[in-house]
Amino acid sequence: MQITFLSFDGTSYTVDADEGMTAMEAAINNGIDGIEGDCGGNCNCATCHVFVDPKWSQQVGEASPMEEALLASRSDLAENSRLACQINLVPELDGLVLQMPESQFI
Amino acid sequence: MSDAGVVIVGAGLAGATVATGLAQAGYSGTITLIGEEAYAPYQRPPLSKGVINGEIGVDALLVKPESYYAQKQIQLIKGCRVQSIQAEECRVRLDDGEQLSYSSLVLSTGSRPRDLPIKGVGLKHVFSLRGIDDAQAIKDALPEKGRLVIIGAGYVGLELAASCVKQGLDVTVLERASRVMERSASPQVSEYYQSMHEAAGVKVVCNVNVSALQGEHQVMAVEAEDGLTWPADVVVIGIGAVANTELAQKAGLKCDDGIVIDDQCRSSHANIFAAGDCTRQIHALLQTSLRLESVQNATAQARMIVAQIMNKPAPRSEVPWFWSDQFDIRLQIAGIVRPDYTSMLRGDPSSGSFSVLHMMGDRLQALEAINSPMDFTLGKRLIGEQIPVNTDSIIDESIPLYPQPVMPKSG
Repeated sequence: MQITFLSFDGTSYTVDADEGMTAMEAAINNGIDGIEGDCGGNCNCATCHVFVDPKWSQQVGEASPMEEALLASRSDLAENSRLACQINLVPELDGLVLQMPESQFI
Repeated sequence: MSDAGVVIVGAGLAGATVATGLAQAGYSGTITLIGEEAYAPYQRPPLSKGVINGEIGVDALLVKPESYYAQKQIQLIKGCRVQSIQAEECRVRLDDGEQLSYSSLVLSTGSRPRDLPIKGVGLKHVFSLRGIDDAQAIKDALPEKGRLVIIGAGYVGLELAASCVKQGLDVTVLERASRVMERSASPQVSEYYQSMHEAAGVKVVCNVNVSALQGEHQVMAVEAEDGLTWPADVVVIGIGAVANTELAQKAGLKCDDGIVIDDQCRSSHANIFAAGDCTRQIHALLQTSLRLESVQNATAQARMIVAQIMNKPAPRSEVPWFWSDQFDIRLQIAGIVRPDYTSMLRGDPSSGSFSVLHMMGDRLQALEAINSPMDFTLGKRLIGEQIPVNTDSIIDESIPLYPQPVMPKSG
């Protein structure tokens, strides 16, 4: 399956991912800059923040209370905010588009 | 002016974050990242949890895939020790005699498990837990339903205990202090964790001074000063960590249980920076000297160094935070818990979700959140802003921790 990550400057990266991975793992494994994942994908640090393309929000679903609490720490929180480590790549998400916030680029 | 590049000594999370951060920021010189271990930089927190349980393989621990470093023109040298630093010449010497020049040097040498100076620690099946190889060795040594004795009830010891008791092992934790997690948690939280461990079948014994490990070749038992013994197939010693400062000390850098760095992460030598477990720094928000062993400290200091080298604005200082996962309980700590703070309970421990707040007068200084992620996030903000709060409303669970109701001005 394929996932597209959009950089804040509009650059687009489409990467191959395996079912069962998280969107964070797909980004890290493909060396995408802009997804940090300091805690290793443990839903602990909120450095893999992404904005879900509105077309995909339904399929991606809602954040858990733990994730929601971490997202609340982000100053760039938006309605379509999620943590990439909490998006499990199920087959229905083939083609998913995620935008990465500027703050995660050093 | 030619740039000799950045040399980073220590390829843990801090070192890796400096290297990848510089590459992402477009640093034009060479970036060399040198690590002692045989692995590319990896995440250590899962070692006491998913790795021991066999749920996570080594590849899943990597901070970046190994190919990333070459792609970004980061020279990653594994299995290599730096012998010495010639600070005046801006050079390091590797253990094979090679010398590397730098314009900036970053020391991210980490910490190592504290030694327990007693008889028998050299026996087979006695371990500490710091790296992938340690986790693998412990896993391989543990017989099914075997007896594991853990010396030290800190995070590593308790996380390991929780992982192993779940696998059906017979687990005993011996602690010298009068309670578990004594160094970092409040008595209320210690008590809660001890009871959780006991309920899961872990034997927790406090006030024990371990005096020897018994056995011929392989460890057989743990002996305490008072003569009590605990039979063991495997012993893991987890009594804290010591900063790796030897290289810095030899080079004449100021050290004091950690390489002393300023708020820009510079050591006493202007073009030598340091980050992570090996550092001691006056925390910009808390204004107190700390040596922190945490993921957040490692990455925050690393990003500060990237900003300094790239001449970019410094990232904002954050309240220190930590986490520990044991069983299905998540502990999140914000700030530094100190015994001189007044502690207050928010929520009911019997519900499985509560927080302990630590106050200095009317200001929140630290907070321990047990399965209370929103308290953690909002409490961290409250600690950072140091707003005076009403101590009645702050323990009222029906009111979010932030923003707190405005306090009436008193005469």
